[in-house]
Amino acid sequence: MWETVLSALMDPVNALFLVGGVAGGIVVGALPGLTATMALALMLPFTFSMSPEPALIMLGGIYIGAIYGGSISAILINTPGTPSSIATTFDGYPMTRQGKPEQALVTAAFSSGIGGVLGGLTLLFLSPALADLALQFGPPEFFWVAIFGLTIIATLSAGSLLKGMIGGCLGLMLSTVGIAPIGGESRFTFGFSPLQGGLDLVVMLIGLFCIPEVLAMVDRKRVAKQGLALKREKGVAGGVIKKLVRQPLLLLRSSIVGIITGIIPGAGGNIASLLSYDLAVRFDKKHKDYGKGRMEGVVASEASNNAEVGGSLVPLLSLGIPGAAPAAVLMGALLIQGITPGPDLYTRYPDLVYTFIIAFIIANFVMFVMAFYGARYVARMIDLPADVLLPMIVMLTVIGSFAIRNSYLDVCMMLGFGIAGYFLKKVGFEPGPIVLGIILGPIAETGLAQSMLLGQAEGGVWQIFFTRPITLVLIVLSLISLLSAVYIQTSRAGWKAGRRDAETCDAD
Amino acid sequence: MRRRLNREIGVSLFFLGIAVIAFIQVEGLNRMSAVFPRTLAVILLVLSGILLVQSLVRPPEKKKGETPLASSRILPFLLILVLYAVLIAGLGFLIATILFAGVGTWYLCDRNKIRAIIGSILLGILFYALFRFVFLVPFPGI
Repeated sequence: MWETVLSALMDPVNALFLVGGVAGGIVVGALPGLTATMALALMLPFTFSMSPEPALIMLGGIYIGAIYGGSISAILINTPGTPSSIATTFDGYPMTRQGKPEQALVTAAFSSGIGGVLGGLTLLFLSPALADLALQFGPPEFFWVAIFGLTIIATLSAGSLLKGMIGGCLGLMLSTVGIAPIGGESRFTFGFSPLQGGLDLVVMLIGLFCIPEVLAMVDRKRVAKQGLALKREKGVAGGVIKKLVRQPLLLLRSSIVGIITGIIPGAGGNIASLLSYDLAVRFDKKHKDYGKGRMEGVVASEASNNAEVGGSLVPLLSLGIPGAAPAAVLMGALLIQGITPGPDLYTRYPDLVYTFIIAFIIANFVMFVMAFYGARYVARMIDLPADVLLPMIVMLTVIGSFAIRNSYLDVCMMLGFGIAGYFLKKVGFEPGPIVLGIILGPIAETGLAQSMLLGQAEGGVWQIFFTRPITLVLIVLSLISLLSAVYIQTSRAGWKAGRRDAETCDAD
Repeated sequence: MRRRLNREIGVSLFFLGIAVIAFIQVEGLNRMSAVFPRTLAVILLVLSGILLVQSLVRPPEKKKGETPLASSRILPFLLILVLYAVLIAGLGFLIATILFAGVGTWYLCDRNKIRAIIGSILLGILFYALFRFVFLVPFPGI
């Protein structure tokens, strides 16, 4: 197996896609308003005619690049390029205002690289172990795995927990459109036969993640304020890296926070970076310097959000449950290639999975090199005009949604759900929980129906859900995740209040 | 405050409506086909009910910089999007895309006709050539 993996990694075409993916991701991530999820969803049509290796390597590179790219605009113009870089603005932008943008960018690049590599190593070692365990799962366990994902659905919602749950419920409901997996009858098709096959996941992903962002940008009109020209200063980068190497605990702690947050399905990079930033403030004696341009603040945020990338792929590859919204798009890419992620992925496609994971780790090194030398060039691109960017994005969404099944109906569905997603977002319903609901729906329904049939055969329909050891563990995990979702919501309110207080003090 | 209150109540009623329709739709289906969507309909009904009560008892505060649900800037662009979808079926991807990119760019770049015309033709042809001949992706319409 390892010979195949090595030869795939040495293939110049794969290397080209890896470098191109990382570079493209950095550029898209640096553009405020364009998220990593959107970048991945937009790139899906490029992968249709590709073989699985280069397709996944490129998408992995885009994911890594976009999460780092978000820090460039966060540091230079105080606008996070992606939601994952929210905490980077707290100290990154004050560093720029103090005339230290180079230091801030090098700090972000180095921390992102370390966090990303640690996340990749976790993916390499933890994911197969988890997949081995998941091979023992039966229908009741899969039902509870889906419930586990759903209990923390609310953390994907930026606002109210209740709205996150309603969004998740709506997603689950949408997943039931078409023929029932066990009962075999049509549901919610309203006599319209093309709906019997169900709603296509990739179409929904493209519509719900891209169109609302496009419409929000039309509403805001400008993508960014202005591009920036940066000059490279001699000796700065080396000095910053020396300083960072002397802080292994901060780097390690931030990366671990990112990895754990990523593994928990639903909690994304923004949660990871805020949690890590919060811990950095608590553990640092100079906590009063945070928010005023402290380098450690940038380290905490960036190491954590890039480590989260690897973490979010652990449940995807081992259980078939995406750990974050961009991982949901990667799941769509796997499905396009005819590969269903889940416990048997490691036994059915070991060459592909290990090629992807090793390439993922290499991509983090590539990202560091590109970030180190290329951040100042990307900074100049921040001012891409909306009138060029937005029609391009819409065209890509149309091509992408059509190419999956050559269906004009899918284009209409994509636009329809995209427009609905925009209005839902305006009233506080994030697309993340809806999409997670659509993904988890079939797992939950099949698990529920098969367990009921098994239970019936054993004499008690519901006992089977609560009497097996693994189901009990999953029930406990679901309860913990539900409580942690409540805690994160409360903490987030606290961070916002803290930021408001700090801004008021600054204004005073 | 009143507009916000109406918006929250409207959203709750919308989801209540979906839950009721879903519940009615699965009536008459066999047990295995109905159990999951029926359970979801009940959960959605309960959650929407809580949202309705919450929005009546404690209406949320208006957020800083909050824009109307459909601003005057977004509505024409929505219309352009819908027309694009319709035109794809009638005129094919290339012509519909050039028209969409032209009108879209014109609308977004403060009615600059020259920029819109040049930009749309270049973008349309570039995308068509790239996907049709390099990535071998099929196109909707003619």
